[in-house]
Amino acid sequence: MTLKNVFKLTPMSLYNIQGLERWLEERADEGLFPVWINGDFTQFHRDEGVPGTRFRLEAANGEEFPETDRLELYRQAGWDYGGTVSKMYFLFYATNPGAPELHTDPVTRGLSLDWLARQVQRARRRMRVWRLAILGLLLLGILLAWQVEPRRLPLLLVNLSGSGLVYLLWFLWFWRQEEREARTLLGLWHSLELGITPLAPSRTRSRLFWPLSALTLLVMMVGGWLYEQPVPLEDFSRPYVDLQLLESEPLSTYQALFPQERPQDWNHNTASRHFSFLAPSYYTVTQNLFSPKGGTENGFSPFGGEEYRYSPDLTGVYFHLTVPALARMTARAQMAQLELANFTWHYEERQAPGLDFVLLAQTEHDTGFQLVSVAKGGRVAVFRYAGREDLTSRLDVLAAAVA
Amino acid sequence: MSGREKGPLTEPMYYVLMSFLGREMCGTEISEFVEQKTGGRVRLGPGTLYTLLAKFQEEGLIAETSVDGRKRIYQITDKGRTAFREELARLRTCVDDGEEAFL
Repeated sequence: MTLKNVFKLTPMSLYNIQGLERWLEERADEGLFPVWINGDFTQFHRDEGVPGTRFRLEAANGEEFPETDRLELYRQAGWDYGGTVSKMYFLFYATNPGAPELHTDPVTRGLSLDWLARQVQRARRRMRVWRLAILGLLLLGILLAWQVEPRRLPLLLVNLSGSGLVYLLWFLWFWRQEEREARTLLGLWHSLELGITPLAPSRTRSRLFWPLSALTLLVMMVGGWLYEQPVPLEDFSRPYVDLQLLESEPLSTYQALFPQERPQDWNHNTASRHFSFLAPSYYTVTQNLFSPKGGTENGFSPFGGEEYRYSPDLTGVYFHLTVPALARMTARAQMAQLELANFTWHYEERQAPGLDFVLLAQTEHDTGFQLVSVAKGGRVAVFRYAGREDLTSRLDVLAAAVA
Repeated sequence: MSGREKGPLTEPMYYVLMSFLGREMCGTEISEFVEQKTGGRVRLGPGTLYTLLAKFQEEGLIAETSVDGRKRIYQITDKGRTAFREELARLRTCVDDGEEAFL
């Protein structure tokens, strides 16, 4: 049993009038007759199309149904009404090869498109304003989210995660696509006004664009979210600086020290991967260790003293930049990102054997927080450490991260 | 009173406007008139005719006088006559210029 209805993706924009007419004619040659058309799908009836049928789209000019005198005029000339197309056109068709063309004067044909073309122009102007506004708002949102900290702005280049950039590219590509489609109609209109009937543009676009791009975005969103989920450090195989190597006394993980207790988020040792086009797979490793020796009080501190259990922590962000020249800028921006608010930080740069540069930052008063960046080639590692050790004496350990 | 503002008439526009000079007409009569007048050289597609009637009406060159069943009857207006006269003068000038250059 064969189904009477056949659904096909409409392979071109509805603004491509000539292309759409030709496509319908080719389907009629296959025995398919259109019963319903929109910008995405077309429904045909099988075995109702007559080979050689001509289809013409007439601008509806805001009307829902052609006037009876028009239908009569067209019918007398051998053209029958086939329905509306997305409220933009009336579809007419002629099975008689002797029926005269609907339009025998290109200039008049251009006039028939006046209303539609002006609508498209208006809609295009409106959409341009909207889209620029959306882009502006997105930019503003990003700047506000980043607290308008100029030093962090370069990180946008790196931290503009792949998915974000893909959304932006998709947005711009989609915009360009719509502009091109509108130009197809406006180009036809202008040509006809000059008395020229242009050839049908061969450009078709796959209407798979919509479902595919929606699916791509969904995969990007879900995939990006999954990709960036923190994983336990024991399951992470990329190189990183082990916090224990910076410490002069042996320390334990929370889980090893308190196996009966349920660990909190903050004392998990985890790694998070991120994606960006300038650092395709950079990652953040967060570590927190604990001294076996407890304090006099029930609590933890990264800075020593007898009352609390010593518990240093280290956050390391490891980049492998596709553009090594961005290393210093990236290091400075990431350090600014890792700075703790309410402290004044002093930066200095040092040279170290085997490294391109070392950047150090310490708080104005000795709080125990230190920021360090080491870089070699396109590899950059940025650390924020809270603990008793002086990282300037551990540069060899940190340097291993970019070796 | 000036005629049409939107530049010269194309051949189908010219003959459609001409068809109303003698009497009121409906769409099919216009098609027959033009075909007869031009010996079949100018054929009006129904889309062209319908668009022209709508545009001429919009521009005030013709006016609808009555509706006879599914047919609308139109007549030319003073503005339409002026537009036709202006087009005629323009065409005469074109012919004169051409002959002068050719002969």
